[in-house]
Amino acid sequence: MSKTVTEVGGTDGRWPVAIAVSLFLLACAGLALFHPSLFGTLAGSIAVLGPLVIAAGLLPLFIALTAWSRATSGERANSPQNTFGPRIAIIALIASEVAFFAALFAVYLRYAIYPEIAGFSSWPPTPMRPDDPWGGPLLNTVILVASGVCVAAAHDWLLKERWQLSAIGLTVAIALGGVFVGLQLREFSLASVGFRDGVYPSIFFLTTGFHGLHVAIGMLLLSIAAYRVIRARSAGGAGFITTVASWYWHFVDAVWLLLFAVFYAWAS
Amino acid sequence: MRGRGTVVLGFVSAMMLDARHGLAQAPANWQTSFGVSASETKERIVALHDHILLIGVCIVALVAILIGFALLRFRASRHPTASKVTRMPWLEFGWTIAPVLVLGAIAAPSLQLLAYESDIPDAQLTIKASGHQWFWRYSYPDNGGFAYDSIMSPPASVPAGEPRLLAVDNRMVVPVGAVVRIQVTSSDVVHSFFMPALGLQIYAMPGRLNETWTRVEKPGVYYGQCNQICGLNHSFMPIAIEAMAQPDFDAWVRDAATRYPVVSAATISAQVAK
Amino acid sequence: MSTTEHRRECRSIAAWLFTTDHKAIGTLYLGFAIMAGTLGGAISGYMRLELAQPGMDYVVNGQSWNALITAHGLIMIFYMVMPALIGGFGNWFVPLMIGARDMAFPGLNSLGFWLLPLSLIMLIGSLLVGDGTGTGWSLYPPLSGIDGQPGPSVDMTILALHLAGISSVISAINFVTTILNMREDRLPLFGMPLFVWSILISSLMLLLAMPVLAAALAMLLADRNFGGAFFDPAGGGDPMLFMNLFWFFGHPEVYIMILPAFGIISQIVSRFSRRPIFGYPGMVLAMASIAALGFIVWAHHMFTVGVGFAPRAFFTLASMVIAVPTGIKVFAWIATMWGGSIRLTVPMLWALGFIIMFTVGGTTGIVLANAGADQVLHNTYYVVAHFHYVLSLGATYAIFAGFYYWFPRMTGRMFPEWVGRLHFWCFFIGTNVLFFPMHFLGLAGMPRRIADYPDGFLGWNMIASLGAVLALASTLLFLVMLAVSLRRGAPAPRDVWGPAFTHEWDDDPEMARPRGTAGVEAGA
Repeated sequence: MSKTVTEVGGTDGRWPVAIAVSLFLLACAGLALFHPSLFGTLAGSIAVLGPLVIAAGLLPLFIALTAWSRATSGERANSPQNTFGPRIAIIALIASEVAFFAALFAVYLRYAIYPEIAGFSSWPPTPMRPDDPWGGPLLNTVILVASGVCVAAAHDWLLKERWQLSAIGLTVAIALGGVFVGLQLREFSLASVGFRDGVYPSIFFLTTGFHGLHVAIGMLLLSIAAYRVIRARSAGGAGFITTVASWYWHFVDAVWLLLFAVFYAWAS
Repeated sequence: MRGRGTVVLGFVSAMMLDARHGLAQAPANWQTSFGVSASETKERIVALHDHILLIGVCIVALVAILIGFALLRFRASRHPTASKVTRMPWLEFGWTIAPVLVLGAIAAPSLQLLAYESDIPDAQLTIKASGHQWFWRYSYPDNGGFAYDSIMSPPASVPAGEPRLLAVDNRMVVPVGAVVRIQVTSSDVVHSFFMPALGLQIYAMPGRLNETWTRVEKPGVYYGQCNQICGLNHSFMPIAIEAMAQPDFDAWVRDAATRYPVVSAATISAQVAK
Repeated sequence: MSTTEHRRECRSIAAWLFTTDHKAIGTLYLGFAIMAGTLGGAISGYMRLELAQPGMDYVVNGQSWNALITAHGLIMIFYMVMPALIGGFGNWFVPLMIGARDMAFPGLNSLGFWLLPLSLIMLIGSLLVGDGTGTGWSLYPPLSGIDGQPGPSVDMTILALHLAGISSVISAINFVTTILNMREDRLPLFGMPLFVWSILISSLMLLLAMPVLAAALAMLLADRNFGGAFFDPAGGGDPMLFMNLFWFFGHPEVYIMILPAFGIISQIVSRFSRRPIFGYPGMVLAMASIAALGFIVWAHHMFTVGVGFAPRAFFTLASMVIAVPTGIKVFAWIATMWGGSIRLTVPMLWALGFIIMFTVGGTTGIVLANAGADQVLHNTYYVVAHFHYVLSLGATYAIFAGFYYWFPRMTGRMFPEWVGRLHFWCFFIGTNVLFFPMHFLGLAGMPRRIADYPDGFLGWNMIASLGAVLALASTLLFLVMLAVSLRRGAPAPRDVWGPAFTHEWDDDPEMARPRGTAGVEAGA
């Protein structure tokens, strides 16, 4: 019981509340973007900021998350622990992400298999065409798979206590992820159709967009892992976060391979 | 009726309303089961429902009796020492298998009914019902394509003898005894074309053309309501179907064709596509 | 108030705010559920007032009526039943039952809770700003689209549900990890109390169902605000797709709410029959199969949207199969009582009420599972009666059963037995008078979600409203009893319910003395 009591009112209980409030603020930022008039005198500045409102909404969340992770990482470093539980948690988290992407894929497949229900004779509906899969998308696939290999190698090196190689592997993976995001953004900006041009671009951009967001989150996790590896110079302090980041990265990789197969290769 | 009457007053008026609508096809006060059945579909639905209800009542009674008996027989004062048995495989097997058999007894007639409803016979007449916020538009493509709107009669001016919130200005009219194919769509949000007396319900979906069918057995006026939340006046979007003998129907068609404008198929398909 | 007292009070508010103790968070969840339930109940009281007689006498118009029914549904599901059953009792008793010191991630636990009140603020905001969300809790487009509901309300509802969804996923991850990893030595999975099993299975369902709702809501949000065409026929989209996604979440959601109720009833029936639950492995497998089947029956909510014979036949059969594991549970509860040594305490009373009323709701569920018959029942008051029998008379009875059962453990105090019995009988009669006539109304063809009805529906509607008065009055009685018992209740004896089969009643130094909360007071 005594352990429980010391945690009550302890400092670590503050960050969850701060994160909850930040998420609420983020929701408010979204609302402000959609309905500026709700926010009275702020409406003018919201209109000027545009989508940057979301970035402003993300800021407190980012700060709170950083602070929380710093606060808890100190605790964890002092007590070497069994990571079985956190592993279950990460698997559960990834399972829920799989369900999320499964829903997006289900929507796409529903239209792709039965285009006539939506009044189209073919899918993608003419004249929309996906990019040639064997050009940019294939290059993206190669880049992402390569970064996955780097992460796997980095994780392996870390377990073998070769932290320098591990840090290099993680850094290369992050760089490749950055190239991937850049190429995706370029593809989006060059696309002949926009999000508003019907159901095909809607589902295409939403799914690839959410995937890109997950790549960005994965890069963030890899960056934290790389930072820890460089600072800790041992597997003890950085092992778990690297495992988390690598699992997440492989998940993001797998989603892309399915995206490539279904949204690009099969569609053309 | 519109005032904030007391409960007692409400009861009295409920009884009076009961008497007033006793002969109409509209729902009647204190009705405890289905109203009138005017089609074979509805009769079959009622039969299936009664079949399942009988089984359901038996199940609930069985559970209640078993619990009641356990409370009497095994209460602590009469049965101070609890049994230690926690497994009885044959019993557990039995209460797994028994429901399967009961469900089989429900599933067979249920699927028969579903097949009967799903299989649209050759129709003698096609009517299109299109849901709008907040009225229905009926069109008769087989009879020259005239179309008209069916709007709820305002509560203040409901025709005598007709029920409030169910009466409309122009009813959908069908011939008695003919197989009528009803195509249902919507021009805005989702509505539901619901006619309890005929055992009929299908959604009016924007962008889709749903089909169902009916064969009205008895002449009369039947009432239903939009049955999918559709916005501000969802409560005020009734459906009234008048079934009349074929000669009367033919006369009505001749009259309606002159009274109502023709809506071309193109307009309708444009509406569906919208 | 002296300065010291004042300071102590402030510190205790901070202690509640920043607590990461599972018992304190469980108490927060329960308190939140009681507040949200009172709000949702007040809305339903207002609805029954409006429906007590024909005419629109109280609500402004149909839109505000629609907004009220939406708020009632969402509040009761996301902010009352789920927080009470999973967040409240789950947090309190899962760690105690499996011998864990706390939840696996106390910080995430706190985050999961605090998202909920903020989410509820957003939802209440959607009711107060503009015209409200007049779509029903199922949020079908195009009615929920930007043309159907142009104001900010639907967006606020969607954002509120996103926050609640994040909270659910976080707490589900926490429960799964806690149960799989933090059981004390020698407690095998197939030795866990059934309540722990029910929370584990519900959490796994949450992990797979919630993200599908999140995806559907994200698409709806994109349609509304970024010109997407997911569900817009003008751009080739199909509203039926939203229905599929929504119910792929929505039906599992029903079982997410009812499985923990099953778990609580199992604990109570076993305890007050003085013997372990009968057929334990069968009970676990029954819950698991209910969960699995729960993911393949969603389209029975869509029998009338215009689908062919084959899918309707499949979903009819799949839905009916759920009666088999449900039957196993009911029979096993009876078998536990059979040969037991039964004490008809207040929690047992609620549990028996649950079993009988849930059976009623289950059999009307079998009626509704038949696509053929559903043509005249879909969206009528028969459906309203059915889901209130499984939720209002089912899940809510289980919440009260659990509350009375664990009240001495949570507070160290006892409630007056006679009030508990009075509360039960008033609520039992009230809810039955309220919801049973709705079967009649549904058979007669009364559509749900209407603010004004044809005069022929008056009789039973008036009876239902009378039942609502009794049900709400008994809830008020419960609130008063709660307020009094929390401060003045007699200290609970250590062996308040006799010998226990589960560990949450094990010796605990804090059990000896009455206290307001388990961890917080000690820490503050």
